[in-house]
Amino acid sequence: MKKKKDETAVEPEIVEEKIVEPVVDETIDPASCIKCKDSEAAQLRAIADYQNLVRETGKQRMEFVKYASQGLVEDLIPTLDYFDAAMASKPDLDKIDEAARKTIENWIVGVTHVQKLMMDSLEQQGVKLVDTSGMLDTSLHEAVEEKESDEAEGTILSVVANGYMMADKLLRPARVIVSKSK
Amino acid sequence: MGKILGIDLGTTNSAMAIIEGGKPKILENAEGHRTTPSMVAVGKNGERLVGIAAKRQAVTNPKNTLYSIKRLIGRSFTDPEVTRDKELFPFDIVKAGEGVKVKMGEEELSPQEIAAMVLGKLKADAEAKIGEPITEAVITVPAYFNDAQRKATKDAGVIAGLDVKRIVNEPTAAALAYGFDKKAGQQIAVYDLGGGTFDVSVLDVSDDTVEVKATNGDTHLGGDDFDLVIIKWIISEFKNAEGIDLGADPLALQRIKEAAEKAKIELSTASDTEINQPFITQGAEGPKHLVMKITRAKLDELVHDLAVKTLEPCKKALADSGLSVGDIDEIVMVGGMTRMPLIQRTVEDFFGKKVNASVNPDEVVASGAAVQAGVLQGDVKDVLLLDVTPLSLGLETLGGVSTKLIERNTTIPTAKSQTFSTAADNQASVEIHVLQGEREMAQDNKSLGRFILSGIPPAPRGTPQVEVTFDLDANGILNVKAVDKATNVEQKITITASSGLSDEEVEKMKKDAEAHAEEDKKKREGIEIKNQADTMVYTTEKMLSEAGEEITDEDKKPVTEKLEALKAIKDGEDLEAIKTAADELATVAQKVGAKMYEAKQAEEAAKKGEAGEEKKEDVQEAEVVQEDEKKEEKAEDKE
Repeated sequence: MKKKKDETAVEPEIVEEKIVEPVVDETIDPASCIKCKDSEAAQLRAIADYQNLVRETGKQRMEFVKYASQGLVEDLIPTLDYFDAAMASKPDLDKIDEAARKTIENWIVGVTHVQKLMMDSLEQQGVKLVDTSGMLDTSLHEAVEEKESDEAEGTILSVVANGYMMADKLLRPARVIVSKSK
Repeated sequence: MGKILGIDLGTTNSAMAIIEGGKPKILENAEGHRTTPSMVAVGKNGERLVGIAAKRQAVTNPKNTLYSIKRLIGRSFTDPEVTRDKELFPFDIVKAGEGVKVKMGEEELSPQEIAAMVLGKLKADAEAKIGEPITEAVITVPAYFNDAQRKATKDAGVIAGLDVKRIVNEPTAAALAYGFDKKAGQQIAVYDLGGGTFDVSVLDVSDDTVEVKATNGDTHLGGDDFDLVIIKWIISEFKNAEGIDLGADPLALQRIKEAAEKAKIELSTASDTEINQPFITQGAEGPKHLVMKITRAKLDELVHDLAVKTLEPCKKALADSGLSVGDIDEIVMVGGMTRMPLIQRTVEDFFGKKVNASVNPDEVVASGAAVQAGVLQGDVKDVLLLDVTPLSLGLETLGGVSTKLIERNTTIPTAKSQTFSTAADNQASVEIHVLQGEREMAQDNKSLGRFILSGIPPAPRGTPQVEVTFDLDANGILNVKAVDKATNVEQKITITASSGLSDEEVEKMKKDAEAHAEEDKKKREGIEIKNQADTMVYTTEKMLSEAGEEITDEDKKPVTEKLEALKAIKDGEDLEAIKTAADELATVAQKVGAKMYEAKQAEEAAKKGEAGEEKKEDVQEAEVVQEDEKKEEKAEDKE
């Protein structure tokens, strides 16, 4: 149970204030005091750095929200590459006998669905594939090989590995084979 | 005065940093990377590319993609290094007067102009990052650079629009990053194993200078060579197992290169790792997979000779400086390769002492350049180290709990305010009991002082607002002030640093807090449950008494039942039961409260036509919430 406080009975306890007054040297002229100027400059710089930090932290927080899953997606990219490589080397159905063909075909269909579901999930996180139509653009693509062809020089002929973007940030450039003039 | 940019203009990669808050901070480039390839190119359409953009089209444009220009800058055409590089570089190097120029597209450019392109990108990206113009820089160069090379580097800065305030030696910059320029009378060895070059330097630190006494190295030994050994091993293992030479397949080779680098990095922290590259190539019978394990022991065995190769230059540098291994006081590690345990062990065994690798070895030179920039800027003469408060400061709240206002390790000077209230109806004063320590219960912390703020006008519990401010100055003096916001009556106390704890007591306090963390937490939770139960009882009783005839006996019955049930056990020790009882009471009380609210709304709708004040709802909440959490204070009896 809490006792009701008796308003008059208690004296507020005041402790002697031990505040030390800063010693002011009357002989220094503030206008010409170099130390004062340095102090002031340092203070301003500290305040400025602090304000910059607040602003930067705010920015970083926004970035973090936008790109929260960036680390996870980047770690996944090699695996996405292997999945693509796997799908690119599907068994040749013509070389398989009738009996086994249907089974394997069906299995391929299933796995293709799995890959699509994975890409859908990534899209939900804001991940997009880099557009690889047209010419080499070094802000989006990395040329890994050159091949002679009839296409204009610098045209992307094929994609070795997909490029991935998150919001407007490039996570990994698309690795492409580029046309070389004959 | 704007910020001076510290730049590590590397052979393969460059980095930049500025001083912020007295500490060096690496700036990311426009692509969001902390390093920028030292590469420039002119594309097929005449577009100039710098950095990673140049790297990405190198394969399609070898003649016009320029790299490692640092190997040429400031050198004459007849220099043996230039002669050697002419054979290795895919781009054309031509004589220009005594010096060299490089062909890029239709132009012939001096190495200074090419380096200026890299510097220009760094400058522009840095300006974008910090939002202010940059006109001055500190640029680092290898210790062995002669006057011509240093001048050429400075000229590159000028071409890029930078006033180069200082050219600093790379090993010196590394020492600055660690603050070793303060170690007067000491000898520092800097071991720099980068991507393509190895440099070792011996520094002598005196009161006002850092002097390079000797330097040695190998201009064609670096991390790339270590990667190559691993790549070759992977290819040969695969060939033995599968009969296929992966080296002949450029796309497979690229994947192996990445896998090798990744494995190398993983083995710096793990004792083994798996190289797993499914579908690496097509064999005669179908796709082939590259799956192999590599242990750290195997890696060490593979690169052992390369590691040992770095020791010869170390011996020579020591000999040239007239020092022996024992004379070296500190060893600084620079360059990504120095993260490898084998390298660190090799160097530690050679010098007979531990190496300094705590600053990111890829960033240490740029950081040191920024430190030099900071010193030149002049307004941060010494890195200002502010104190932190070693233990948390707070006050005692309802139930004998210790509530923190200033967390430990907060930089001082600092001030923090929080609003508190009363625990009982018509409570006229509150006691501020100032505590220092990490324990949850007030009695386990150190009492620094107490005072009372009285004259609080009568009000229901939880209504008054008493703002308590803790103000801790740079000397560790704590001012605690309490103000009743209604009356502006205030009371304060000053506690000097000496009334706190000694260093040993601080350490003991911290250890005790850790040891008792679990039980302290339980105690505190227990008290909070009880406090909430008390509040629940109070608000429910108030609601019932104010409701009067507005709620029927039928509605009241479940509430009074639960209320009695809670009152019976709330002072006991069965916390689970108390919490359950409080929750059950809250549920039924809410229903009644909702009914009362609806009744009032109906009443008001009926009264709508009348003029006059709107009746204020007397809604009782279990906790009165302000911007900061309001906690309740217990008034203590003063004898």
